[in-house]
Amino acid sequence: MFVQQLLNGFIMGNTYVLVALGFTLVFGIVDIHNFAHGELYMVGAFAVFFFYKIFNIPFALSIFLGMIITGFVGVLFYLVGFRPLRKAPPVATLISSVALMLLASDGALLAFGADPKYFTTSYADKILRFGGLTLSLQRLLIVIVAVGLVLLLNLFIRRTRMGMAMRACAQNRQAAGWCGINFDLISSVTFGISGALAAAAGGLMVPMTGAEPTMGMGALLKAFAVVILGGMGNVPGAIVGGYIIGFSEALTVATIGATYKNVAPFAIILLVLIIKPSGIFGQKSSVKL
Amino acid sequence: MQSLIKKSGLLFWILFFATLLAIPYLITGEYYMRILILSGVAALNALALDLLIGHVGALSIGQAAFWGIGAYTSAILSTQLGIPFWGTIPVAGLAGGISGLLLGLPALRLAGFFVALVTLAFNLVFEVVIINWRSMTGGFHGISGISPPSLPVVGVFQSKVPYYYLLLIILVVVVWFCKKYTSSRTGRALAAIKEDRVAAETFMNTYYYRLLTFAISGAISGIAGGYYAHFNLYISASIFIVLASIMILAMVVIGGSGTIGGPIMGGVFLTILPEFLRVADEWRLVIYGALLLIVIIFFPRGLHGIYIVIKERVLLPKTKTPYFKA
Repeated sequence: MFVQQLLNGFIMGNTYVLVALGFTLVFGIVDIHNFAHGELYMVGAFAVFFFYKIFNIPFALSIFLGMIITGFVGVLFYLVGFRPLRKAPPVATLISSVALMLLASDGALLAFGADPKYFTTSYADKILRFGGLTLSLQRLLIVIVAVGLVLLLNLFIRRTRMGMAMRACAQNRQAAGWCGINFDLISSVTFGISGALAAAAGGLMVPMTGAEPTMGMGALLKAFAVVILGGMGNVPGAIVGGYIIGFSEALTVATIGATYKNVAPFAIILLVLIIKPSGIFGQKSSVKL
Repeated sequence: MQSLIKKSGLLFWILFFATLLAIPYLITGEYYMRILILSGVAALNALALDLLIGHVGALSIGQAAFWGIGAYTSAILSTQLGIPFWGTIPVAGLAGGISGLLLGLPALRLAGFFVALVTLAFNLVFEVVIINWRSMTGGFHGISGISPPSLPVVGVFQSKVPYYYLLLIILVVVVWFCKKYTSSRTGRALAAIKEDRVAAETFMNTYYYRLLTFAISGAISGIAGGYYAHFNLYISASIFIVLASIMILAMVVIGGSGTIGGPIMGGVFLTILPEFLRVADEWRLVIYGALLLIVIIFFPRGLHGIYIVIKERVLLPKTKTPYFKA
């Protein structure tokens, strides 16, 4: 039973990794804390829901299309809310992201209504059993997709010119500009990727939690916990942190009980901020000012 | 010519305050009085938050928690210990102030985003605590039966009118305090900190000043909460949610942060606006979000900024100075 909980934690951890990766990429490369990132998760969930349940597109394709659409929404967020403020003080960017968060979640409420929307895939019925543990194919899919996306992302950042440009911007934006890198383009691409990753997580979670307009806040808080733990702007940190948060949540449920499930991320945030605010892999410069 | 402008400025303020005092006789209807009073409470919260945003430069998304702490303090003292309004208000302010201090301690050591995050987390935790601590706070049902204030001559507050004048007095005191605070040595220190924290750090303890302001901001919202509790006579957890904090943030930004008139304008504007948007009530929050976005991008100085522009372009050019082409 306990190991089953750990398995659940591992599965949830995969989604946290995906959501956190997007957030940390945007911070690392574009230097923006996007409070509206959770809304991209929500938009992705709705997009996948519509493609799969309403348009009856096969599940894998639905996820793919959902990622594309939400990627564009991410770029839209950047163009509308952050790009105009590139010369403004950082407070303005934070305020703008809060405004976007409000707009997105209440726009969704208006458009889709408050009731959670679910779908079930045929994968949910196929159950695997091994060593006393049960796992539906649907949940295994979460792991496969997440791991696959992380590997793809890794390839993209390490082996492509665009990825190299993104790394350059993360290291030294000014110098990257001198090398002829268009920071505006890189920012757009980064926001697009962050939206796509969040959408994958959102879409995969719909069978379990449903798609509803307020789901963004919860995802955002988990993402915060992960990136604070792993280090702001740090990709390996987001991956490690995501699984740690997933496990810690599962441990909380297994030991104390499900009511305190959401306390674990808060507690971890608090602990990290008190002990080592820059997180496991992070540097002090991204945290203190 | 100059003195005429000055005199017309003074005349404006005299008329303004006379109107404020005469409002209960101009506006009839408890409903509209209630809206006005609620906008006054909002203005108090906005002023408190602007001390943080406009003068410390710290973005706080948790102001409603301080407001709620003040409200619940007053409510509990009133209903469980029978303490009257005049006793609960100072305690509410103190509770708010201590909360601000405790929250500022960890939050202000870190960069701007983390302050926002910690205040957001605080608001969320506050919500959860209020709902679950049923013995003290009544959980979902809230606390009812809070006693209205009473004065020796006026008696127990029955209609909205005495509440209105009381709020006016509170607002005047808070505005006076804020003006004094922001133009004092501390206020100037804050301005330096906001301008360039690193430079300011070389010759002062910025942490102390920012922490002090956090406590004051919490105290003002606490007082607003206490007043609200004794005005509404009933409070519940659903009032002091994160959304309320975001609303207060919108009031500060749309009204114009860094000024005294701005948050007040923002508070009044955003409280009165829903009345005109009755037709499209579901769109209310979307409109607020859009307004906030538009203001922060295109009109960063908010309503107050627009007022200043009008004052300088329309009113002042009447004085002709040699190098200024009106």
